[in-house]
Parts: sequence; C-alpha cells; structure tokens
Amino acid sequence: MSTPDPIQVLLGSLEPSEPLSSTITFLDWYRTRSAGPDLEVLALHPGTAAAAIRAVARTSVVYDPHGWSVSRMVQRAGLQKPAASLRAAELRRRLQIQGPVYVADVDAARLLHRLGPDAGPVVTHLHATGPGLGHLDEADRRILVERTDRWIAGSDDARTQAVEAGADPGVIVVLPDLLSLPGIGDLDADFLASVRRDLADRLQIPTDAPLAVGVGSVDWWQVPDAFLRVAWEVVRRDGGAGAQFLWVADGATDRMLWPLRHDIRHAGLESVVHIDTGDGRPWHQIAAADVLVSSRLGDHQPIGHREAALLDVPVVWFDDPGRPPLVDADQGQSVPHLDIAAMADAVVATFGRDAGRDRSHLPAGRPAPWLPIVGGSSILDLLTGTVPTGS
Amino acid sequence: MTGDRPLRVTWLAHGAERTGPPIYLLRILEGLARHPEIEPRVVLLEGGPLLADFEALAPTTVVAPGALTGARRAAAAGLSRVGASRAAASVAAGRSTPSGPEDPDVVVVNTAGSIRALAALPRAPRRLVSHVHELATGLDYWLAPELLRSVLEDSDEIWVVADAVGDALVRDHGVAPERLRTHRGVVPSDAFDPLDPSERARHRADLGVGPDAVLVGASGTLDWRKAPDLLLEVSERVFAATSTEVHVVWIGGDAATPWGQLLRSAGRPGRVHHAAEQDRPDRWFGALDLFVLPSREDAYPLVCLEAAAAGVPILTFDSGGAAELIADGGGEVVGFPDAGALAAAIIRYAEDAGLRDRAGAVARDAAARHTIDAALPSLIADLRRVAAS
Repeated sequence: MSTPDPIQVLLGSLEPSEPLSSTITFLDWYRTRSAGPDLEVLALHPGTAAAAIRAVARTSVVYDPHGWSVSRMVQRAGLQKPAASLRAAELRRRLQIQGPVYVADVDAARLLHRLGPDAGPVVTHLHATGPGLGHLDEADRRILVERTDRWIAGSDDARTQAVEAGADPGVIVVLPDLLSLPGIGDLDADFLASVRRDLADRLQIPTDAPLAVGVGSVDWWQVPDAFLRVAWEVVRRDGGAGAQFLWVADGATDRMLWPLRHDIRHAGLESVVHIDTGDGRPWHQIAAADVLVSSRLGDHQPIGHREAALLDVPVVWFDDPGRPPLVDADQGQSVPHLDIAAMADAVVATFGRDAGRDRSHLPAGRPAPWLPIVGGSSILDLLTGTVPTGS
Repeated sequence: MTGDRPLRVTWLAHGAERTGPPIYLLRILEGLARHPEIEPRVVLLEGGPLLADFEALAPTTVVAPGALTGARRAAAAGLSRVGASRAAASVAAGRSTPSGPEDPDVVVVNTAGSIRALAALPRAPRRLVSHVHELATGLDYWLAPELLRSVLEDSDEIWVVADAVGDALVRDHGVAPERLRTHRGVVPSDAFDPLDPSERARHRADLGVGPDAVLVGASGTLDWRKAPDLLLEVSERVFAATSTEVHVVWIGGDAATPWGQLLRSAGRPGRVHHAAEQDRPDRWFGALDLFVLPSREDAYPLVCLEAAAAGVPILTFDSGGAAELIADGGGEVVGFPDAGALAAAIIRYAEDAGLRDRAGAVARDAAARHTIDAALPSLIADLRRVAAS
C-alpha cells in the first residue's frame, strides 16, 4: 500500500490574524486524528504566532530571519541579487511536490508562482475575516485563480469575491471560519467567577465592576484607539462610573502595545482601561464580560463577534453600510460609523445584565460548521477529494 | 567670531523631507546667511525633496546609511556587531564623510533622532548640543534606548522646542532643568503677508467651499500621532450639532496610507476634504477660518505657528507645545481625548466671526515673537556660550 502524498499548507505570514487562528484550529484538530497523510506548513513570512503554529504542525518559513539557508548566508554577505535568485531556486525545489495543497490564506498566493505542476488539488480558503482578494497584486490574484481547484469561502461575501475574481461557482464551498472553544460546555457561574478573580489578581479589575471587552491585534484596523475613547466617554456617563475596559491582544508585544498604552496614560485612564496579552483563549474574557465592544472599521464576521454571540454576550459595533451584520439584533447593537458617543451609550445600556450567569447550557455538543470536528472534516474532504464540490 | 574666524557649527539632521524639523533648520540657515560670524554645515542621514534647499544654504553631506551595499555594508555590520560603533560608522560613511573643516566648534543635533548621524563624524565633537523636537513617541518609541542615553548624557546642553518637551525630559528622564534651554520653532516673515483675496477664494473654491462657509483646517503627515481619526470624530460631532456650514480640510500627508484611506472613506462626503502636500502650506492657511491640531502628541508644530501668522485661531488637545503658543488667547486647549469639548470649541468659533477675529489677532501677535530675526540672536548667543564653555 503506497503512502499518501503529504498535505502542504501554505500561509502568507505567521502574524496573528483571524484566518491564522482558524488555520491553527484546523491543524490542531488534524494532529489529534489517528490516521491521515503527513502535513507540513510553509509560510512566506515569520510572525509572532510562529510558536503557536509550530506547536501543532511541522513549519518552515521562507523569509525566516533566524533560519539557515545558502540564500540567507549570501544575503548576509550583502549580495542581494544572487541571494534572491538562490531563494527562488530553493523555493521552486521545495514546491516541486505532489499531493494536496491547502492555501490557508490568500497572501500565500505568491508561493503558487513556484508550485510544481503535479501538485494538487489546490484548495484555497478565502476567510470571512481576511483581507480578501482585493489587496493582491494582479499577477498573484491571477495565479491564485488559475491554480485553485476548489475554494472555501468563509461567507457569502467571500464567495462573491471569488466568483468576481474568476472562480468557477461550482467549485466553491461556503464554510464559516473555524473556532476553537474547548470547554465551552463548562462555562458555569463558578468558572466565570474564576475568570473575574484572575483578572482582579493580574490586572486589578474589581470583580463586581461592569466589564467591557475588546479583542484583536493592535493596528489601525482594529482601532483600539476608538475603544479607549469609548471608555473615556462611558465613565463620564450616568451608569458608566466604575466601568472597566479590557483589550485582549493575544501575542501582542510591548512595542505593538506602546501607542495604546501612550493614549491610556495621556487620557488618564490607567485605572479604567487594561490590556491583557492573553493566554490564547480570549473567549474566556468575552464570556465573563457584560459586553463585547467591537471598534473595528468594518468586517462584521470577526471571530470575536461569533464567539460573543455563541456565549450570549451582547456586541456593539460600528455600522458598515452595505455589509450584513453577523450578530442578530437581539444579541447586540450597531451604531453609526465612528460615532463614539453613540457607542458609549450602547455600552452603558448593556450594563446591569447578570454577566456572570451560568452559560453551561450554550452550544456545547450542538454540531455546527464552525466546530473543528465538522468544519475540519469538510476541509480535509476537499483536500483529499473524497466528496464532490459545490455549495 | 572665534578669535578672527567664524564660529563653525555643524547641524546633524535626519533628512530633507518636508516635515517640521528639516523646515525649521532650513529657516535657521536662511537667517544665518545674514550672519557671517557663523559658518554652518549640515550632515543629513537621508536626502529628500528639500536637499537642494539645504545645499543652497550650507555645505551639506548626506550619509545615507540605508543605501550601503556589498562589502562596505558587511564590514560596517561586522564592526557594529563587535561593539565598534564609531569605526562601523566611519566605514559606513566612507566617501560620504563630511568635507571641509573636520573640527566644528559646536555640533547641534536637530531632533534627538538625528543623534545617529553623530557616528558619521570623523571624531567626537568638542561641544554637543541636542535640540529635542520630540515627545514620548519620538524619544521612547522610535529612538533606541542607547541613542536616547547618548542624547541625554553626552550633550553639553539640551535645547527643547517647547517647555512641554523640557517638562517631559525632566519628568520622564530625570534631566536637570538647568541643562535645558528653549528654542522654539520659527516662522518666515512673509507668512504674515495677508493672503490675496482671490487666492483665498480659489483655494476654497477648489474644495467646493463657499465664502460664507467656515473652513476648518488641519495639516501634517497622515499617521497615528497626528490623529486624523480624532479629527474625523470631532468633525462628525460638529456637523451634527450646528447649522453653520462647516467644512474640514486636511492639508498634506500621503493619501495612500491607511490613515489617508480612512480620511477618504469615513469622512463625510462634500464636507471633509484632503488637499495634497503644499510647497508652502503656510500660504494656504490664510484660506482657513480655524486651525485644529488633533494630534495625540506634538512638540511644537510649525503648522500652528504658520496658521497663527496667518491670523487663524488654533484649537487643540493638550498634547504638547501648541498650548504655549496660544496661552494668551489665540485659541483654545481642551483635555485629551475630549472630542466633545473640541467639537464644542469649534462650533463656538464657527458661529462667532468676532471671536475668530479677536483670537486670530492674538495668535498673530504670538507668532510675531517667532520670526527668524526675533529668534536668531538668542540662538547665536547660546551657540557662542556653548562653544566658549
């Protein structure tokens, strides 16, 4: 019996992102399976989530600043052009493969220029939360469409994008990004109280204070600055005094957090706004919160929203006309784009709910496509070609 | 003069781009052209669109370490790795070593970040002055700790562009107040010339702003520190709360940056505008009715000085030295990040032309204390004192 060809997973970078989070969830599920082809990850660029992905799959990085390769040594000698030629040759050799290829984020499209002709099927995942195809160079978008045999679209929007880029609608499957919520069935009142005690111990957030949580990397898109300004407004409102705000930035470095900390200090909010660099389970903090404040500038399918909805925590977010909200009206409220005062009002309105109530009845055991056991199987089926495609 | 020769002063600067510190230095050099007792030279880390202006005013060398290639780059990197930073810098500088007199009487570092250019000099300066234009973002975020240490410990004297910078150095870095001297930004004398009414009307018409509308301007690079996002939030509050037709324009900055995209996508169409970078933004400010500085942090922005010279009142957060410029009533300062208070101030000024005129006149008087002719005597005196010390 011949050994099946290994699965090659391609990534653009190992910086934390929601597509990467979904990919790690898939890889983590895959490694717990007892059988199946080998799986390797090849990323174009390094990132601060490298350890998390290396923990679940064998991983190599093309532009690894700490890695060893002939091209790297040549580059260090200052010979840029020969180094680039050597790197291209190394990459071409590395990608002369047979077997399935999982393009787990669209930034990996650049690797497809070097992918051997015998590789396949190529399955490209266009995540709901990713940057989309629009930011790719024309050449990268073209090779992505040409080489992709099957598409996974994280949302109807993503499906439309793929079709508009030239993908055959018949080979697109819509599948929500995967979520990893181990122990979601254990969210009873005792557990939530323990999360609040932990936040009190580590960050001096009083256990009985109203708590608003924001989640995400620290960049202009997630806009923790707006989160901070919402906090500034809330504590000045009736009903907002004593409120606490927590930004969960998994894996963020001190340098990445410097601007946010600068603003917190400048605004005199050191005892109100806190930062948690997290333990990889931001949904614990979301579950223990009164409200999830989503200050991002558009994109209403972020994992945090879905986690909050699953955990029955209300979400407030900026309206983005033209895009359908994921969160149902009874689970949250949208406010006009960048209207900080309206968002502050919406946050205050959520306080007073019993945030610590038992949520152990929530979706545990309910089969859902975002669960790795369901969605992961679907991805694997597409890679190994055991099911017909079509949405 | 030093004996019978001019005082040799070498300024080190990070580049010749069109931002505040290089423009400040150019204005100083323009003024010094009338003072033969000072012989200026300039060493720039990088070039930029203002390079020809520097070269026209003083012998100028561009070190450009980023452009190094091949063996020189490898040798410099190797020396740097073993701690021989001055030798590394000499190798890196190579043929770019500043020409002419190699032993200036005083070396002035124009912005703390320009201290990196010190390594390009053939030997350590006899007297070193660091002229700090930065607050926390420049000093603690962008500047490597060892370079900040060099600014604070190796300088014979530290000049600051605003008392706010001095306060921050004393408070956050333990600098002794007696080591500090304040030399603020300067404004060209023609910035006080009233803008021709037809020019004013043309600038406004280019944006679709009529003569009766109130045009609020902001200016600078489009980045986190300059805070176009805060301006957008403030603008929306203004539009929602007044019936006066208020327009907002951001002058300068790269529209292709994420912040430029935000300005375009989130700004109210027809009311929030972006005007491309200007050669002389100060000649634009006469078309404004109000100037807003929404920066999260700004030491002593030249754009405020220029707006004040044009008789335009200034509204700002308490985020640096602009508050010192308008301390006599040339505008208003509100607490950061109180967007509601800044919006309320804009509305108050937008609805009251008399208030604008009065504050604008005070701002103009304040700016008049910052002409090159007014600033140079004390700067030259301080250079002499440092050289003689």
